[in-house]
Amino acid sequence: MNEAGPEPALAVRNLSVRYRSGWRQQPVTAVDDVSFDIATGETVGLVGESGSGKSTIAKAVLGLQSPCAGRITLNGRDITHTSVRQRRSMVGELRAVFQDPFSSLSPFQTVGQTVAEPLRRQQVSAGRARELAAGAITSVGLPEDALSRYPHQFSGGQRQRIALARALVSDPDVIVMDEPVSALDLSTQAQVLNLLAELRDRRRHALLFVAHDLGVVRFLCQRVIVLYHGMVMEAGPAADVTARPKHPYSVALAAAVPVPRPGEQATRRAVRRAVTAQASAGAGQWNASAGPGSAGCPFAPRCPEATDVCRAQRPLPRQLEGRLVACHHAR
Amino acid sequence: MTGYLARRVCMALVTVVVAVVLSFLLVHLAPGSPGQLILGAGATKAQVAAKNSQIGWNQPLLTQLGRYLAGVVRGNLGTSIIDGHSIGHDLLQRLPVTGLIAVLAAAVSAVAGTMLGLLAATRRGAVERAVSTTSGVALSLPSFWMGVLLVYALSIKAGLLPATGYVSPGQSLAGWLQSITLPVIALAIPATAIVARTASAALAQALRQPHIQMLRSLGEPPWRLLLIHALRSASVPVVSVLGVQFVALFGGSVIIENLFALPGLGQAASSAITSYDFPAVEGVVIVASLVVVLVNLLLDLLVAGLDPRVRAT
Amino acid sequence: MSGTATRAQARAAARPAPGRGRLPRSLRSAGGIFGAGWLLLLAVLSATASLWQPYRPDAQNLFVRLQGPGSSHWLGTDDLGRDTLTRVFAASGPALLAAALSVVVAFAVAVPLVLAAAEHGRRVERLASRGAEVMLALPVTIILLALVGAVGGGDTYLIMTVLGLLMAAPVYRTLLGVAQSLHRRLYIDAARVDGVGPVRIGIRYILPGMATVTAVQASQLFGLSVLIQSGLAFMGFGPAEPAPSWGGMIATASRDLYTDPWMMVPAGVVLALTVIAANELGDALAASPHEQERKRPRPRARRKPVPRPVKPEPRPLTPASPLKSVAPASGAPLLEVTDLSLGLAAGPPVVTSLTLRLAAGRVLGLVGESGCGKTLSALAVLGLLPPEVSLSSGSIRFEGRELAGMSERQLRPLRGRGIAMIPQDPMVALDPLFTVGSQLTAQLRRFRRIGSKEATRLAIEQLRLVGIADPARALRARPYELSGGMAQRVTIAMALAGQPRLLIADEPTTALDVTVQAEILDLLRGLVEDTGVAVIIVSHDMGVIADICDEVAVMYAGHIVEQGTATAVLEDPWHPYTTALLAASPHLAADQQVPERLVMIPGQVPAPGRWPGGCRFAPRCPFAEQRCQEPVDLAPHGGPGASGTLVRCARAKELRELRAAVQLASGDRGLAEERS
Repeated sequence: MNEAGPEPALAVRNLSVRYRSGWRQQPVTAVDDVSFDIATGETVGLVGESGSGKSTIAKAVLGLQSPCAGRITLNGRDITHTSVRQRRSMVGELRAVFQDPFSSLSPFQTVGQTVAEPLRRQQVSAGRARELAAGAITSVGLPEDALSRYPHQFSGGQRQRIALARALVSDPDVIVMDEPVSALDLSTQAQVLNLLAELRDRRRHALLFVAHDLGVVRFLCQRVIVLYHGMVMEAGPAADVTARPKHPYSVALAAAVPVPRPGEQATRRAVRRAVTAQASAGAGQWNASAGPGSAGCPFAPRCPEATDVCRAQRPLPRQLEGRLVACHHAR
Repeated sequence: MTGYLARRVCMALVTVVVAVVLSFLLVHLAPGSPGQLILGAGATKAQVAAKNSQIGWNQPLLTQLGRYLAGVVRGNLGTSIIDGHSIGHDLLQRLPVTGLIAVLAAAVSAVAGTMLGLLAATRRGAVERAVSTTSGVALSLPSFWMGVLLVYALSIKAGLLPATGYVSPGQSLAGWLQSITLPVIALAIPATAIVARTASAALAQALRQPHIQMLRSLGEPPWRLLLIHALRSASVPVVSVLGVQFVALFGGSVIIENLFALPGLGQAASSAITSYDFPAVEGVVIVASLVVVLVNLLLDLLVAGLDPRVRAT
Repeated sequence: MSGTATRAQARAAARPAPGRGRLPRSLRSAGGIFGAGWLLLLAVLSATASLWQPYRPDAQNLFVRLQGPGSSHWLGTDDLGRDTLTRVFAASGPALLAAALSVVVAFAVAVPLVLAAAEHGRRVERLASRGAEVMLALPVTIILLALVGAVGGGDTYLIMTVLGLLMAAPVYRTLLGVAQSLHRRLYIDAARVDGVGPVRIGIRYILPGMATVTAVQASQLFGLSVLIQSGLAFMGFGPAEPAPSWGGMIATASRDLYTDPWMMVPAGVVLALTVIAANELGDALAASPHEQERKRPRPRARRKPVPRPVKPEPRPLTPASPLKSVAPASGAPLLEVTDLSLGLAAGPPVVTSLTLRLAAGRVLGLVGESGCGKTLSALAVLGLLPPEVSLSSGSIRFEGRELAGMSERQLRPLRGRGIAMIPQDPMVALDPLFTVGSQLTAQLRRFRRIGSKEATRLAIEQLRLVGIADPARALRARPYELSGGMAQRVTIAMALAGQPRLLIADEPTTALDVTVQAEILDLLRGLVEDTGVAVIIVSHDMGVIADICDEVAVMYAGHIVEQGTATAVLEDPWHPYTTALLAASPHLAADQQVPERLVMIPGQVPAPGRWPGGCRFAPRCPFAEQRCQEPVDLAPHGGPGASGTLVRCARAKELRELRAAVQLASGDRGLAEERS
């Protein structure tokens, strides 16, 4: 199932997704011409705030949202638009873990049934399925007798582990994780992150990790892609992009995250004030905002370094010190 | 708002048409024919066929429907097979009897129900449970049975109100009120119970909402929280349920008319059915649907006034 | 609101809705037992009628007509001398069957439509919903009468089938709501990713979730159907004579009301009981565990004697400047909480021995994970505890006045004027039906006793002061038109309307993006500096605490484990839990190496009622010893009376010395000396 080769495990090219929020509303462009690759065994983070399109990209890859333009390939196979039957055949290659541990597991099935369900699609015998399920559940740190219990008997962190076991049971090539730790407490988050770090180190699966927390992405991911209003702002090695960001938005994002050390935080505050303009007070922050699709850089209204060219022309990503930056002025 | 109004009116018209077509189809597609029913089991096939063509039963369905609808639009509901009178004229006279009783019962249940709901929401605990249990029983009571009981208790035994008979408001307001009190009470009991439950639940839920909590944290007095803010939030489901209840009340009013000897649509429907006067039956359906749909339209507009978010639907 | 309540709700929400031992529990209420019992009894009696009925239902005996209850006719006779008892129960069989038929038809039509509409998205759903809307508006009884007009009243089963078809509309509408909410659950997405087809999703995942609502609706529909049947029979359109029907019997009784009033009782009572039973059954099924919790008797907050009667103080409020500097009180702390304990009604404590002091112009952070009691502690100050939680002991003094034990009425003048709250989710904390302007001006007018024009002017000033760039436009907007950050600024403006001296912020930035969060924190800090207002901020995010707080109290399992200045607690923690929490955070300094793994605290936070006797963190603490089984006090780390951080750890000093020694050994000399 895993192939070592130059073919990326997951490739996204010029992906655009549009949808209508209500039947009489304007269509919203959630994702606008996004491209990236994930190599076999690599862990890539998609990071952004609300409205960045990161979840929509994950949904498009998983077939839950239909793209209006672009291509998605899995191990070289085009999966941009798939039928139900095609999705069934992909169960061995592409799996998902979702954000909310309380609604991502069916309450009507035992943990064992939920974890083993993907295998049923692949015509695996019941005995073998049970074996694999037991293996998966122990690999995430839960006892084997968990298989006969129901999801409501477990805590949030344990349920995320079950969701992870469900994703791992078919030994997939790619796992898409949509904010898997955002709903967890700090100590539970640490437990699950360590588990994911182990997964990353084994290099068996390509992981697409969607998050809004830069610190988490920095800890876990090898590469990170920063999104804003559906477009890629910066992409590159996680350590570089999070510690030494080049794009003004990445800079603002990194500066805005508070660290739990008052002295350091005071310094960061001063730095942050220097690099950002007011966001939530300005007129550009009304909910029914003019969607992207308008010309120009989407960050221009908030960027302290914006000039006319920024507002007129959308910057294309360009190489800069080992990463891609979509900015006219970044240096 | 005008867009919403236009859409609602459209839906109302569609509903009336559907009601008419539906009853038309039910009458015409049901087994047997009026001729058969009128002439009875002993008639020969030829006699039945003759009667049917006399009534106009044998023409193609769509033609009959088309002709009928055309007549309705012009305000002509046809003439009764039995006595040849204009159905429209007759029903128009009977409409206020039924309609006013239903409206009055709805009003009584709205007021009483909301008050009971407020009571339950403010005095949680024992009072809330009492309201809940009583309303559970009251909404299950058949209004026609309540009518019979009330007639016995208040009319026969206590002699307070007349058991039967109708006095139109034009003749004497007091007399009218006396003649309709028992039917209105009988109808209002289950309706009040349902409104009370809806109001109580809606108020309880409204009070739990975060924006009410925010106002509470700012020191708003509880009577304002309840009567102004919570009631406004709760009024939407209450008004909606009133709309549903009105339909039921109208139907209920039709059922009890015979008991109280009220010359309304129910009586007309009864006699039309027993004498197989199917144009009259369809006439009742049209009139009833129009009334019900109109009242619902008004209530929809009220809801839209209370909650602007509804105007987008 | 509170962590405990939220978790309980989450647990309840996640419980499997149908079957699996749920049904019996719901039915154990009195109503459920009665409902199910009566219907069962009726069914059995009518099925076995031929075995026990004393007479035949149509056996006339004109000699005994219109008799009341007697030895030979237990329920009397009707106008033709027929036995009422027999007829009442003979009528029940067809009535129950016909009602059941209408229910089955209604669901057979509605359920597939619901599944199709929920799965296949907008178009199908809109069509079906419009159709249902039209059906819902139809006058059911009238249409049935039209049907009766065509087929006569005798064909009950046909009439009930048509009733079922008409009733499919309200059933559809209710079930659609449930199905749509189930569809939004993530496990449906997971199934779709796995390639489960829409039909399977409907049957395996949506149907089971609709089971409870279906049962409730079916019961209610059953009752309604019986009512409508009887109504038609009352009008004379029921089963043809001599077949008995409840409605028909009541109609007969109404004709002989003067001579035999008793006759209206048996049929009416049995009919009423049947409908009541169906509705009670529906109610019993509808009761969720959450509902049952709500009905438990609530305790009254234990009243401590109020030291002096509280009169609403007329405070000099100047309308001109919205944010006025508040002169700090002379040395006395603004807020003094001493030994506060909160507990669940008839249950375990959720917060114990909480002690805080806050001076004007200072910001105190309550930090901890979910379930530690930080939110409840903050709510207790304003008396805004949820109904399940009450203050069991302790004192809360605000500006010298004792708040603990005050009634709602006594606390009200203080809310908004002395102390105000900033909510967690600003989008739902504002009334969606009104504009921002009307809500803000309403508060300003209430607090400042000014007219509407003055209030509008003031509102614009207020909004500008909280950093909204276009206040006039904001005033005209409705809450759902605002972004999260703007909405939070609006709620802050509202909270400040009464010029409070203390703000309590319950996770005010959790629902916001991180860049917006930074601005809101800046705003709060600015307000503190400009006006001297004091703030208590509750958060689970150590970074937020570090950004804005002067003092911190770290809570774990209902009590404070470490308390001191923000710098001291966050940069130099003493308690093992604080240390572990800081180490578990993935937010590192820019130049710090990314660790291989984060520091993990094994195990879970114990729920209230399951707290260990001694140190509550001991079961998870890597340094726990025998003496940690004893309760520990919150004490200064330097010994009694010393200044500095308060710690609730028996080994605090020891562990610090141990760490110093280790660092000494590894050459970190300077640091070790600094910290001992």
